[in-house]
Amino acid sequence: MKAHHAYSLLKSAPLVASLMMGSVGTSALAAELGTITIATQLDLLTLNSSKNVTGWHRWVYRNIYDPLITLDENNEIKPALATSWERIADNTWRFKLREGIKFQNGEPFKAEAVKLWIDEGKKADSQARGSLALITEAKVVDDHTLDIVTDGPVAYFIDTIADRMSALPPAYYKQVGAQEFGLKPVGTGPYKFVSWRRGDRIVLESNPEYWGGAPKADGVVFWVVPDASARAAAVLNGEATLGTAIAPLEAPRFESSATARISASEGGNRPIWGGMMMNRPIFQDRRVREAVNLAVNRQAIVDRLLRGYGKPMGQLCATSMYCYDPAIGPMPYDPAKAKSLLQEAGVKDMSITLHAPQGPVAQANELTQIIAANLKQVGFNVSIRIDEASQFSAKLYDFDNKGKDVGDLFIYFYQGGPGSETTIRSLTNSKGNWNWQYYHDAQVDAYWDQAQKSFDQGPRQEALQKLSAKVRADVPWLFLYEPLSVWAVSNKIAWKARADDQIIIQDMGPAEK
Amino acid sequence: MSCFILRRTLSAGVVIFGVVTVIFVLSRLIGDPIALMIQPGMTVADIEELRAIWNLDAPIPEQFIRFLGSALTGDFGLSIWQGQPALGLVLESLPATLLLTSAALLGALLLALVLGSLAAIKRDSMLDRTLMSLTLFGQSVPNFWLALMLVLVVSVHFHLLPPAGYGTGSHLVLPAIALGLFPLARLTRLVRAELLDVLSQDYIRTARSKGIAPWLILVRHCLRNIAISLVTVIAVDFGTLMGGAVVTETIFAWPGMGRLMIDAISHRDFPIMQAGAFVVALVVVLTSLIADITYAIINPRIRYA
Repeated sequence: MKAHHAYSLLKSAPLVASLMMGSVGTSALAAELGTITIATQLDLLTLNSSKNVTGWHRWVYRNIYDPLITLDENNEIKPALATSWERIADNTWRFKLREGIKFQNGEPFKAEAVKLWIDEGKKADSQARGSLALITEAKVVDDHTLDIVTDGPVAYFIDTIADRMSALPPAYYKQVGAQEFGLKPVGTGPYKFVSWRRGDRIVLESNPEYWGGAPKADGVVFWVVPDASARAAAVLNGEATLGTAIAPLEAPRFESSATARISASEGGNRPIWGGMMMNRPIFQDRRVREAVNLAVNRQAIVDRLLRGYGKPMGQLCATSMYCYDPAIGPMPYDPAKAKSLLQEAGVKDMSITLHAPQGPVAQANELTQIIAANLKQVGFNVSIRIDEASQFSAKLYDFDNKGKDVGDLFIYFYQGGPGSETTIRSLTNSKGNWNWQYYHDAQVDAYWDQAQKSFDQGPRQEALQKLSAKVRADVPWLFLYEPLSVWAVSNKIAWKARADDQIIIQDMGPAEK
Repeated sequence: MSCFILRRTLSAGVVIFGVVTVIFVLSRLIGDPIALMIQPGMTVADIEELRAIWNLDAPIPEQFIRFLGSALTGDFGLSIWQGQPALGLVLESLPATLLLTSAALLGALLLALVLGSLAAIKRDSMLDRTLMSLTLFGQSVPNFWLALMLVLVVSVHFHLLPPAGYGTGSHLVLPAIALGLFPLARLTRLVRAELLDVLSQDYIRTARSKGIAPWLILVRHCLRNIAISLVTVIAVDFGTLMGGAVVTETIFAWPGMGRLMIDAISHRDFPIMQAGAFVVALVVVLTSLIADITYAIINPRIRYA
């Protein structure tokens, strides 16, 4: 008690007036959750939702803006700003928009607001541009009807825009300009923007006029705490309600805690995989590629490096993706079979370089050492190379020289999650702009084509399953694992990690007593 | 005096120009920011267009001349990733770093004066030996480890101070300790060594024989005489700490320049790197200018040299 007293005394000592953090406005009646503070690993680059659609940006955007369509906790598509949608031509989707909604500044929400978002998102300075490449045009039909035209028939179009596409208030946007809007955003969402101290926190307060009913919290604070163990400490200490990206190493600290607990997702949205350079002689033999896969003990990696917070893989797609096929199990660990396959293949030079980036692949040093040791056991002669992230990616993108500076086997991640089929497609399609390993297979290309054009769930699912099976049989990848998302959660609230890694305040509730 | 300041200002200008040029060249060597922005579905034309926005398609000498031209008017360009003016972003994060660095140094200095004096006066006593072993610890303990231990013990276990964050005095304490321990140890040793030197001087003996109170001798005769070496070390430490605050800022979620710069480097955000290098060079140059002027104030002989 004494300790607590000392702390509050210190807390009340103001620094200088200009350094005070933004305070959250309090309404007359406190909402059931009070103020929710979320300790995140990264600050945003912009608050303009049309300029960035990465997951950590959407944590904040989801509160200020509303998505056009959304996903529920089971990854099912649900209406939001759009009440219904239909395909009126092979390449045209028609959206009916909700009526009677206002932006937080009083502007009425109309179809042109969504069109503005799309137009801004497609500009060269937008980091959302790649995900909108499928869209050729947005057309306003009437105030509450919008047509979106895609580049040819795209069956997975709806998946790719769910929880990404939203709306910008045209009058205000025109008045302040894109740059200023990125600092002072206005949306239709349940929380209004209050302040942003870069590198420190973004403060939001509840929007009492929200069309979807009273928001559950008085305010939401996104607090940037870059260090993983500091995030864990912040939640354990009661300073934060939720902590993102907790290192598995920190998990035991929560076992004995009365203030906070760990919640982990069931699958991972940032799978780790290995790419075998298909243009090098050693990997042209399928048996060698299979041997590489059989030699690596994924379960041991998951158990040791991730303390069990991971899931071994045996296919391209991660659990939360539509292309995931539950019938395909994880790759078995069978060094004896690997050895005999290598003998059969009769490779003379067994030297390979294992290459990984520091940063995008967590614990790259430890991971490459384990994989190298596994591969050495079956007879490979492995040398390891670790690069800083952007050096590594520069080598991958050196398409002019066929990636000559990339190691024979490189370890990388991809951003998965629902709606990220395009990512896998870019990685494995012959013409994909992320096909760094030069994997060309006519059959695989055909399945992708089929999946893109099949608007019926059945044939599409079938094409994707055939694709998964084909790649599993072809083994161009060293299938590795999905690291689970590990969150620290205060015992003051009830909340469970979602499959899509989103933080939605409406999912939270007061702790069950 | 004014001639002296003018001369120093000119040489400061040369130093800053040099730093900015070196950073410009080095940043171009470490990689291409656009390579990090490529997303699935982008065409070669999209990528070229992206490059053109930041002038990255122009030959490097041309990029440099354009950069110098606008930098002279205070325009360092827009951040590649954040789309906001780079200099503004740097200046926004500067106060937090200055606050942390000054608090760490000021605390270290005050404490070092007390501890160093005690150690010098009680030379070879138990107290002196204990203090000196502690300074050895202070100089050798890695600051990230100290920072993590402080969080673990002070915040998580005893709940005395917040583990991370920014805004109130209580948030400043732990990062300032983590950052200030090294200069504290260094300054304590320096104060002790310099004082021992001064204490054996004739004028101190004379002052003693006149019956002046020991604390007055310490403050008036001894500390004034060691001030010059202290100012030199502090001016150098200030620059070092500004650069070294990165780790401390990261662990304590302190929204300072160190973190901004590290993020900018890993994203190859050239405009922020350039604006940041300019601001740091300016601060360091100003600090050493202030130190030089302070010498002249402390010791009149320097003024006329």
